[in-house]
Amino acid sequence: LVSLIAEQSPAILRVPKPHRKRENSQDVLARNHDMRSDVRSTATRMAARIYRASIGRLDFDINHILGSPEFKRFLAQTGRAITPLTPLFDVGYYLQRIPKSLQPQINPVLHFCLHGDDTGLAPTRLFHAEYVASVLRGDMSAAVDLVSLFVSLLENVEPPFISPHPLFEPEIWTASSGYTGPMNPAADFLATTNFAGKSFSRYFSTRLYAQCRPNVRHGTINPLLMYLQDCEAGIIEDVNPMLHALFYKNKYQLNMSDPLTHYIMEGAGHGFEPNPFASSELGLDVLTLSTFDLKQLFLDYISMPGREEQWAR
Amino acid sequence: MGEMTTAGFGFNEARDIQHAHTHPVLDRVLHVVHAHWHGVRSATACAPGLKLLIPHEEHLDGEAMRHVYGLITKFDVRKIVFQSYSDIADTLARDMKKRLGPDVDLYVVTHVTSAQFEHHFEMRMLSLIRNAYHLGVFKRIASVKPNFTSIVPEYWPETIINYMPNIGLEFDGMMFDPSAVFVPIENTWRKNLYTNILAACNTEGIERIYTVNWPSALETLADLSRLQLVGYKRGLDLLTTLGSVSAVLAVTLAECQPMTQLEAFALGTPALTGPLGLAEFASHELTRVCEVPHLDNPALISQYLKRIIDLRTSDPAALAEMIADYNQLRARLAEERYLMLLDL
Repeated sequence: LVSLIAEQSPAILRVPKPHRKRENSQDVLARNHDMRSDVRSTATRMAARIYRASIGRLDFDINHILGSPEFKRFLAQTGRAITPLTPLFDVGYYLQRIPKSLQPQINPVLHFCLHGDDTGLAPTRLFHAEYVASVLRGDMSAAVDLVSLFVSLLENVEPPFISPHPLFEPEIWTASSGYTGPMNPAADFLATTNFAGKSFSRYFSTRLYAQCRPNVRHGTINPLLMYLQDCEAGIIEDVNPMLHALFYKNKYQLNMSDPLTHYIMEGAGHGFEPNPFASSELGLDVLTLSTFDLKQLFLDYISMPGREEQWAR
Repeated sequence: MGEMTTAGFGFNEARDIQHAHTHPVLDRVLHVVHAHWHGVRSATACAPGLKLLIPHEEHLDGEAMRHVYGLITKFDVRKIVFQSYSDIADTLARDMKKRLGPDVDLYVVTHVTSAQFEHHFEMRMLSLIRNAYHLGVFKRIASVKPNFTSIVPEYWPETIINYMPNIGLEFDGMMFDPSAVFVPIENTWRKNLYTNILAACNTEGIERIYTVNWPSALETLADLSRLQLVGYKRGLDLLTTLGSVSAVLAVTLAECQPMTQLEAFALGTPALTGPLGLAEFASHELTRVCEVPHLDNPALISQYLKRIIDLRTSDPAALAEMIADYNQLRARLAEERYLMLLDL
């Protein structure tokens, strides 16, 4: 990662570019210069769109933003203290994955816009690029343009809302939190510190998660971010009543960190059983399992009837 | 079918929900019932709510336990009723209380009478229930047997009333054989099989007596040529048989609230029993004609049988109305008692 960043953005990271044998061609130099210039220009434009969404003025022309002194000041900021910035861009999370020595020297937003597509570093745990790509284009494998996917998400502030992650459903969140503000509901979800009595997914049960993580009971910690953090750390906890995470992972010999997201995006479609009793309870036999597309049946089976929000009382 | 990690473990199987009553609040109650205790399971199957089946001999493994908590979470269960008790139920109840704490209230409803205490298991289970109650595992413990509080003082003083099956249109207008009776009882001292068979044999107009058990050696005393062994029946088979005869005989020595009678009533078939001691139904006309006071008296049972069969022939509408009224009263009381027990 360090070498990738260093190689691709020597100016921003202030790392000397590795010595390479030159091709002794003025044309090649000029072309490289032009390409770098184009890349930087595109990245700055994307950063301007992130800035524009952050200040909640999507009605501003992007050229107006690019020429404004506020945006220039925004770009000049480095390290963690970047303002104003949408809650969907988690500077702390992003910088954690950059080498420590470089963290204070870079503007995370610009760095993301320059290198996000190549490094695959998401600006928040809640951003699942493959999922967003599948929602926007119907093709998970097309998640190579992380930056534009993220900007599309930021600029989606009216229904139907795009969700950044399969475990966050904007409609459920707005219904339970009453949020009607100017941002994508995911931004509100990340900004809030009050989760008591609120629901954000038909698949994620805070009540169940609280049985192994009692501190989410108080409703001040974002349970989904905590769960995703657990997953990154290799800790597998059950957050869906019907998906037995360890059973699922072991039975199908899966190598992934987040079993629930995997099941929603892939497992159900393959006809994988979420627990040892599912087929029996659904009245399915081996032939049915191997013959029919049971994705929706299994997804309905693992979804909750919508009473989770009443739990925190 | 899916892999079963624990034999006898299941959830909402067809026979446990297809004839259940419904209620907006009681539908969210989880009943825990032992899969192989058929009488209690039949009673529980008629009640509104979710049905969790557990084994009575083998403890639940990790996946089954995990699934129990998944179901509680998925259906947002706040009230759990253990219908009868076992060592497995005791382990599960204590684990539930420890894990779910005050989020969920636990209850026990027992279906045992003191006449069954010759099986020491029953007393041991009552002792376990009492211990768990004192430890705060259960909020209330109750019985379907009237005045059970005189045996275990910690019991809730009200009697839980069993629901009868909620039979839909599938049995509407079913034809029955006016000369056939059904004796669906075990061949044990308590169940009084011989007396019932003798009563049926001695009743004028009875040409077919269906029995699930053969009264061995009775042929030395009585003509059993009208007796037909049909074996044990469950589910729809049982309901079909109950609905196809003119009356059911289950005059046993000791009972709580026998489901055979309630299943028969639900189909419009009269069913004779011994005195059940339910004050709520004491004054009902159907109780007067169906509860035989002397249990070891075949002649008296025969007399009651003849009377009810004659009534069904001579004034079927009156009997049907009597049964329908009884069923309505029972459904109302059953609902009221469960709501009271569970503080709903």
